[in-house]
Amino acid sequence: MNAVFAVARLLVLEIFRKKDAYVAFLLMAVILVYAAGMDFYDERNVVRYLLELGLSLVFFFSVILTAALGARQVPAEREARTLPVLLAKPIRRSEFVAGKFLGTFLAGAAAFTLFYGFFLGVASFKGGVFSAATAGETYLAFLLNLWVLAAVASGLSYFLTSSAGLTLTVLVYFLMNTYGPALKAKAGPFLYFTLPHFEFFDLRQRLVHGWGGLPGDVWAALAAYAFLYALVPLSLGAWRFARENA
Amino acid sequence: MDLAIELKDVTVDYARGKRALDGLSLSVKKGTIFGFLGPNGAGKSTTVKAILGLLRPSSGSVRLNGLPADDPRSRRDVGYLPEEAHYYRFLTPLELLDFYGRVFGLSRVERRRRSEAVLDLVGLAAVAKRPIRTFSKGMAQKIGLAQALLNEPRTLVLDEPTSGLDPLARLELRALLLKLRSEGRTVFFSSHELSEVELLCDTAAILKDGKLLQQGTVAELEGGRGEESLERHFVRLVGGRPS
Repeated sequence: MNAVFAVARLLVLEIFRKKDAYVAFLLMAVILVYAAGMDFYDERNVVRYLLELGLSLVFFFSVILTAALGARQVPAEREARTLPVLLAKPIRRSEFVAGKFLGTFLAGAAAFTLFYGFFLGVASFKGGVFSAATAGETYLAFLLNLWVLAAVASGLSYFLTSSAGLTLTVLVYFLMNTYGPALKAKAGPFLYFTLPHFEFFDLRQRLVHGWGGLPGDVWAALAAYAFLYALVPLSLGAWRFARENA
Repeated sequence: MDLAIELKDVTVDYARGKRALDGLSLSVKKGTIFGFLGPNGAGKSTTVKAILGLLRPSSGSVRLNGLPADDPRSRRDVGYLPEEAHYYRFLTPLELLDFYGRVFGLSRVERRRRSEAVLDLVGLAAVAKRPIRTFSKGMAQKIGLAQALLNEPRTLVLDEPTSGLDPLARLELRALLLKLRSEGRTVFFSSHELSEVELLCDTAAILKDGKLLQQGTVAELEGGRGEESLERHFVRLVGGRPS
């Protein structure tokens, strides 16, 4: 496990050292503050709409950052030729795969925590009223979302270039968020059961419209789905990587 | 016989049918310096990768410190220096060594102690906190040596270790390798530098087109066919023209 945490830690260090997260944060902050500065004469529905838009922005930047980070990991190691020295140490290839995934998730989660905290601060300032419990649930559900997303992006990075991996991950993410529930009827059961259902973890509307949290059994199902689904791309990535010459 | 490295009938086929190694058998005794010679494209780096479990041979077996090379435990006591230095450029040497120390499962105190010791040994203590991206090729090669020594390995595998080093650094490396042998450690290094092999090695092997041409003590290689130098012997064996 030492090796898994070492690889994950390196990746988290990388995201903050290379300043990707700061750029995304600054961009998001500028848009959020600009939107918060608009005056809609306290029209409650417009404020809600703006809050949902702001939350979408937080999700969007977190998704892009996590997907980009996960998708570039293995191609970047290959390109920089840093793999042979690392794999010549007592590390299993499966540990490398687990470390890359864990690091991607932790870095994405850290960035999301920063973004989400900023959003809640701005939203409170703007007069948004949230249930603390629902805000917490929205946060946890999105962490599960990032768990699956990190697994997909990280798993694809063993097969694809970083740009192809990023494009495919983001495409699947937005496809499922938009058409996920209707996919069975429109595209058949194969795609419906194969593609990751990111929309399961989206509690934005519950938070903004005050619909309340999820029951315990739904949480258990969500967590089980996230943990089991993540194993699929990671196992495929590990299988591919075990056969690769460094 | 106590062997640090053992290859038996190892064949490596790459994509498009290129055969990199062809039934290679080698054995390296513990506590010796072993020189691995061959012209460009002979398969030296492929052999090094097979020894470290970085690639899977198409057939044959590789054992490192008594364990199969694909078992990560076989690399616990191994240091590896690649021909070209490629490390995480956003880290400093101290951070890089700390990372590798974590992979070895060393404690925080031990990581710190060993990192400082090896950086001092290779003469990089003064730049330990400078990003690697600012380093010259020679300095990066020294970081490579530092990371290879971090775990105080019983076996060192060095791929063209003198490439990129200035004459002074070469002399220091030579002294270091002799010191390591005197401590009972094994050194396997591939090289073009016949003079290095003559000066340092107990045994050596000559490889061409993935096939072993000869293996023996340096004296055997030099004197095997009359009293010729290792250079002349090497050139004749690999089919070149002596100068």
